[in-house]
Amino acid sequence: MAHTSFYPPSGIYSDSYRKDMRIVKTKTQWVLSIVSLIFLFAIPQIPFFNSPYLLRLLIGVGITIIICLGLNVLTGYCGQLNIGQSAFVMVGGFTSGLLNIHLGWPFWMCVIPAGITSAVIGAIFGIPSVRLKGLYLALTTLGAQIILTWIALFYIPLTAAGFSVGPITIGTLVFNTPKKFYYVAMFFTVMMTFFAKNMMRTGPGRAFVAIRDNDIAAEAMGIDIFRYKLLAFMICTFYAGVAGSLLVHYMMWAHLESFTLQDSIWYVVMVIVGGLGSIEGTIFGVIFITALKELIFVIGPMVEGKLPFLPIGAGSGLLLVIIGGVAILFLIFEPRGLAHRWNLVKAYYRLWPFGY
Amino acid sequence: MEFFGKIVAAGLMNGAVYGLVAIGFVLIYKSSSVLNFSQGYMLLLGGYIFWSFRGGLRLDLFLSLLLTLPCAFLMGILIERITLRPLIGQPLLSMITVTIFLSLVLEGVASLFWGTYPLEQITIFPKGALKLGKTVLTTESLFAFGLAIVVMMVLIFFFRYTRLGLSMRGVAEGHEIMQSMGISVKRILTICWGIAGVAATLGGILLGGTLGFQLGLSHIGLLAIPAAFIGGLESPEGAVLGGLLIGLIESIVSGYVGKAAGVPASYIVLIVVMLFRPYGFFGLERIERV
Amino acid sequence: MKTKMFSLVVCVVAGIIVALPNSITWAQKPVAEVVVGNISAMTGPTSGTHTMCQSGSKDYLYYLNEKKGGIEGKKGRVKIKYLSYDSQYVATKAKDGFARLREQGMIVHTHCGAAHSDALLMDYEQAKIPLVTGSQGIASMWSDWAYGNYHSGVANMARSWIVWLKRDWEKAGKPGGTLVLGTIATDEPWVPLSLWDMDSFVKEQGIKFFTETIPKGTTDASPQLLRLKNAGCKQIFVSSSAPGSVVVLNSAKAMNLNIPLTQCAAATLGDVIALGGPELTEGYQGEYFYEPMSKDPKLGASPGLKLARELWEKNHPGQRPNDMYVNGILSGMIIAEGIRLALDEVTPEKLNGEALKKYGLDRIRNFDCMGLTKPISYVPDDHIGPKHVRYWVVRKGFVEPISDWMPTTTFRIPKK
Repeated sequence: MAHTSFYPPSGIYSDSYRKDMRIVKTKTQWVLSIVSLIFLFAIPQIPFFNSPYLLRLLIGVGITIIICLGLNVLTGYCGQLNIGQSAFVMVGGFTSGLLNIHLGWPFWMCVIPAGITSAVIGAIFGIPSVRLKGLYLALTTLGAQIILTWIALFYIPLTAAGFSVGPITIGTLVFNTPKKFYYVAMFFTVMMTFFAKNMMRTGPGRAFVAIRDNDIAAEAMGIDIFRYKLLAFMICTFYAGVAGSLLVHYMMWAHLESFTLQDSIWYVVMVIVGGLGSIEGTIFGVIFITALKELIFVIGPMVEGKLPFLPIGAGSGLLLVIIGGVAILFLIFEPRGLAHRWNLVKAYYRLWPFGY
Repeated sequence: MEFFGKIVAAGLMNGAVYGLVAIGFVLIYKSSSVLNFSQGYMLLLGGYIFWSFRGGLRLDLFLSLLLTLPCAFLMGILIERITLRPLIGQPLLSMITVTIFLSLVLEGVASLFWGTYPLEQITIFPKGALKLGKTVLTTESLFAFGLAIVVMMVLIFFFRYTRLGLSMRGVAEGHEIMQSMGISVKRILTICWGIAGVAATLGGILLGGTLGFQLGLSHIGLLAIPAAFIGGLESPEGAVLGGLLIGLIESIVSGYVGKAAGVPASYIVLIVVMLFRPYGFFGLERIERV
Repeated sequence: MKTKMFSLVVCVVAGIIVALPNSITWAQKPVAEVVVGNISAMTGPTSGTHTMCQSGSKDYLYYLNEKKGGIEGKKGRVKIKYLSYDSQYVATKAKDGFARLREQGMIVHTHCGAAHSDALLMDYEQAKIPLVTGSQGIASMWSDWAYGNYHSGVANMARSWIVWLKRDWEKAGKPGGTLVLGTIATDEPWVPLSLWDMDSFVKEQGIKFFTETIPKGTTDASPQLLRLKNAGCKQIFVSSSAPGSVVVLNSAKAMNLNIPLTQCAAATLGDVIALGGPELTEGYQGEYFYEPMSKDPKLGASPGLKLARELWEKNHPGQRPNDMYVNGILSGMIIAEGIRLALDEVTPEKLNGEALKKYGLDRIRNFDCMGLTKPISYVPDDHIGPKHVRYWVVRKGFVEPISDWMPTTTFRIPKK
């Protein structure tokens, strides 16, 4: 799957390699990106959008985007499956939370150690990828989920019970309401998106793609597969750790049950629905799935009240059927993910009126 | 010694159930290279269908089994026809994702018709105990063990010696090749999902006998995944042996170490084993070329 | 075709995103109607108990609306609007739900405790919206804004049980010299909390206590039971939710174990009977903090239980009664009593979370809950609730009491 668009914008000629690799190629794109960035950060001030409920959803989307970007680097670019991502989110979250309450470190000092701890543990669980391939690798990451959760449950009393974590502060400014936290979340989301987008233009990024497309060929070309696979694992889990740190400081509460296998599977789903190997796709995927899930939460209880003849809990059951059905239909009609469609739309716009 | 014997027996019995569920994963992987995440929910739904005949309508045991198994086959076929058929030839990961969504739908269907509240357990085997020296085995788990072995043998025979089984193995190798050899990929896939539905349902009925029929049954599907992996995703005998191995490790570790260390320990052992045998014990080793 | 389908999907999603903030403005607060919120996991691993709990408080409050025309105090009358939000056992979802319900004007909320709802602690303290809970998690024990009607924290289940058995054992003249007890636990996440720092408690009580764990999906618990038997345990406490308990019962039956087993409060005896059938569960003991629905009808019922049975018949005709329903009704009763007391002091327009706490919930003294549990009083630093437990045993598919109401231990898991 191409991760750049099929056609360059009309009238743009790349006369050097440097120009060809630019992310933002035209003036219109510059204007659009700056306007959308301003809009993103202005949302809490716009009357129609600034309800805490919507802001909370957006914060959730932002944090999930960070998690899924990491996953997309590993799965989408490097081709290694990971169905234990939320365990690494947990490692980051607990590291950050423990540093915060035991050593009194503020969030800004915790977030990098959280990411690094998570990356180190991620690298350990990445070691089997030397030998394991494809679906078989899913087993080790599934194992990571189960083993890490078990350690947190039985060997660290504090994490088993859950503990409260301080909010993020800068000087006297406390980010404890959705409206304030929104800026922190969006800052990190934009930064991490920027890093992920640029990563693919570096040497390691190209090595990842080579490994995904054919690892034997990549090895023959002199790429140290083991090193780059581990690097991909570390980047993936670093993203997870940073997101975990954000998550616990956002919830001001750290507990094991916020990081389940179900979540891990949903992260994979988001990446696949969005489109493997596409940064925009990841963002679309997260938004799409979050909106779909939100539908259950909002409509479920309403429906249940209207249908008293069904057994208790049937209302949510009905909604699950509908949501699952919509998602399956979506995949049947859009099996290559939202990013593919996005590229088609872009191509259509660029070629218009000469598209055929 | 008495304790050790008991623990080994318990582990083997547990393992047999894992093996039976893992066979479901293997069947689907063998024909379509898809890891079916909805296996646990197929098991759940199959169990609930059986409950409706036996517990709901109070039919005779054999009659309800006789009615349930075709229903289960039909369930598998329907799932394949509606959700997976349109995706033939599409990226593999999309097909795997569809099975995740499918698990949502199946859970929804189960709670829509049977509610979220657990239903009473129904034992299909006579209750009793068998004494082997100082170790006591429940007849129920003995039957479960036997059933897993029988299903395994039938499947091995089926894949090795029948025409249909051979073409199923072929389909797993590549859809285009089989298509060009005049074998209908669609028909093969349909039958495979049907059989997987039956295998899942058998597991559901067995588990319902001891755990009761409740939404948590689907969890067993996840516990059985490692069994399928360790045995090799392509081999029914591997699935059963993998199930037994995992059951044994789990039982011994949680018996002697406590602290629920069984499941994590089995994963650690598995990861180490897989480092030396990356395709499991009986899986097909892929020879890769550039 | 594909493009059409795609644009349809896009339109639906865009519609949802646009409609969400709108829907908040639709729910304008009518006069003299107060909003009670519920955030429970209606789907997910605990859906069975949570839906029942939610249904209980909802049915009771709507019953007040219908039969009594709402809740009346000296300064006015209000009707209840009951809104629920499915947290799907996810902490961030619970927080979203809280924000949404708050925008809809919620003044008090209720839930059936689980770890994901503990995460709401900061939110309700910040928003000054009291919580009336069907079972106390860990965090809500620490909060001044949480009011319980259930057990005094998960860590007291085994402790109260030990105190009960020790008392009986001392009455019988201390047979055997030392009391030996055991627990068989699953590896569910709440179990380590329920056995929190048991060693020091056991030492304090001067007894012996053994712990064995079974993995969640296992179908055979006999090795662990055998170890407990060999250790000489007089009674065994089952720290598990209903499916695990049924596995334990099956294994105990197969190995002819004649040690009495007691279910912990994480599952009700009614759940275990529903799952395992009356035959298997005969003689199984359990604890309740209220009078359960599965009480033998021949034994008579308190007015509260009679009402609960009526409401169940009306709202869930033909379905099997569930014990957690009573738990929900208790939450409903406390909310209603709090609102009634608060309305003596403030007018319905001024009734908010803070007023409800100050004039209502904080002033509840010796509230009898129609006999469903021991009278409830809330004093500063003690919002636990009835703090009494009663042990029951299964006879022919129903439960009957085998002990009087006993005070529970009041151990609290330290905050840090």
